[in-house]
Amino acid sequence: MKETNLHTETDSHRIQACLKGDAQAQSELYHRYAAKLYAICLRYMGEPDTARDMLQDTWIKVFTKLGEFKAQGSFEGWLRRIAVTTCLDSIKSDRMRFSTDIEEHSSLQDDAPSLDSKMDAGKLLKLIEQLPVGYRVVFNLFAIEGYGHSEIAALLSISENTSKSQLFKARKWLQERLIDEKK
Amino acid sequence: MNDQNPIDSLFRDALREAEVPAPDGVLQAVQSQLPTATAATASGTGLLAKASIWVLAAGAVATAVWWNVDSQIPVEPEVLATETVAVAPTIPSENSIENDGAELEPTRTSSESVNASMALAEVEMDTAIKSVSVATVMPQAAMATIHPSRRPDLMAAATSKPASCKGSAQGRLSDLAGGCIQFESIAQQDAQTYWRLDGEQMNANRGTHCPNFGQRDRISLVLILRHSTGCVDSQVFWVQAPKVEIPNYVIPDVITPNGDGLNDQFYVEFDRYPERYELLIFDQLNRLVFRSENPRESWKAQCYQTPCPAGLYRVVLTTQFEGQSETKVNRQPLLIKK
Repeated sequence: MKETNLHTETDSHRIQACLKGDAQAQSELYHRYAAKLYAICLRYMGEPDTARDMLQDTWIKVFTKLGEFKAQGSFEGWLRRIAVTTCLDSIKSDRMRFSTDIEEHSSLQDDAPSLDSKMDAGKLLKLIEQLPVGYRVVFNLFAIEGYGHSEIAALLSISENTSKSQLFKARKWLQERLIDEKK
Repeated sequence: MNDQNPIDSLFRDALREAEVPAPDGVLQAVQSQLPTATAATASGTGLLAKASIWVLAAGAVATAVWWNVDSQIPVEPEVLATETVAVAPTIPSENSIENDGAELEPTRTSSESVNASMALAEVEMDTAIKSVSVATVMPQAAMATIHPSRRPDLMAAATSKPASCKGSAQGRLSDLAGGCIQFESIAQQDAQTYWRLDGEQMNANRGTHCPNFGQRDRISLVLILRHSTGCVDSQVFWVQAPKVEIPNYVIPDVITPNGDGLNDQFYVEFDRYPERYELLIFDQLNRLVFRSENPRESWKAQCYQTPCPAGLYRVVLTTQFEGQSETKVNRQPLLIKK
């Protein structure tokens, strides 16, 4: 708890300095959060080149909009949201198409083989990167960011049912890959 | 119920706080795009825009000169110089300036560690426009071109501001949807700014311009600053017309899957990805050994789960790019050498 407060305090000093255009403070903030934000961009973009571009755009937004950050919220949460929306905007502008057919939700077996909960993050990230883009975005938003289907539908301008079906397909796809990996 | 899904929680627990070291050069690229006291930059945060922006930054261009610049560029610097002499602008001598040789550092989206397709991104430096008279000097200018497959940088760069001129023209552009551009000048004390948009004067500090390119491949937006001391400075932005050319891609004709990391895999290299893509690879017996609809997926030269034998293979590639009809490359030979 104490540590969190300390971090928050240093962050807010850095934010103040960044607002004055202090390049050193920008660098400190960047290095503190870049790896986390890059992981987010990779999760959404699935590809290092575009993830890198998104990381760059994210930080440009962060530094230009720093004045809008309200200190009562979590700074990291604010950064994460910017990264996610930056990626979503880019994906949407690429005219990502979500297939709108709705599959039966029975596709996930209840007696699925138990998943190794200690699979390393790198492997899981690789799997997410390989997901087809529509699945990937919805799965990221729902499973990892914790958004609800109604929010996702609004964010991506798709229907809730599409969001649900994409999520189920994503899970099924991931499950199949995970089982393959275990073989 | 969804919270309990084992797949969701597996991934959430592993990846929610995941960190991946960010590539080098991003911070530098970010900082170079932030507005600072010396450089006017336009944020490239927009989405993939239809137009890319060329920038010619030229400080301290006399009014009569930029008129010419506006109508004559692109021309060779020598030609421009000749034209300028003909106009023979009269500038108070106090405003005569030296070419201070300031270098333009184009803002670029990507750093040195770019992939092969980015190697196409060129930066043409030092398209210097030399002085044409004692009173009128156009400082060094530079252009930057950005490869069309990347997000075009809407950018400006530092104007080379003569020491004798108080205030320098600083503006920024950003791309709006529908091929329009938002322009804005950065207010400065004791100075007035206005824009010339594709030759039309616009007495406003900011606004939106939707370029009509006609047959031209680019148009200019020029920001002019008049300082109360009589000094005139300008900054020229080039807006490049949307590319209609056929996207480039390269289909390798040889791969050498020997594990040395060079040409071990087959993939089509695109300067931008197609909307639709289908790659089929057939072996000598015309059996399908690989099929993919993902342009980012490479073929690891596996035939039926084992490494393919050396020999001649055939590639059938169907692509369709946005706004274009489908094209098919049929049975292009692909040699596997070992």
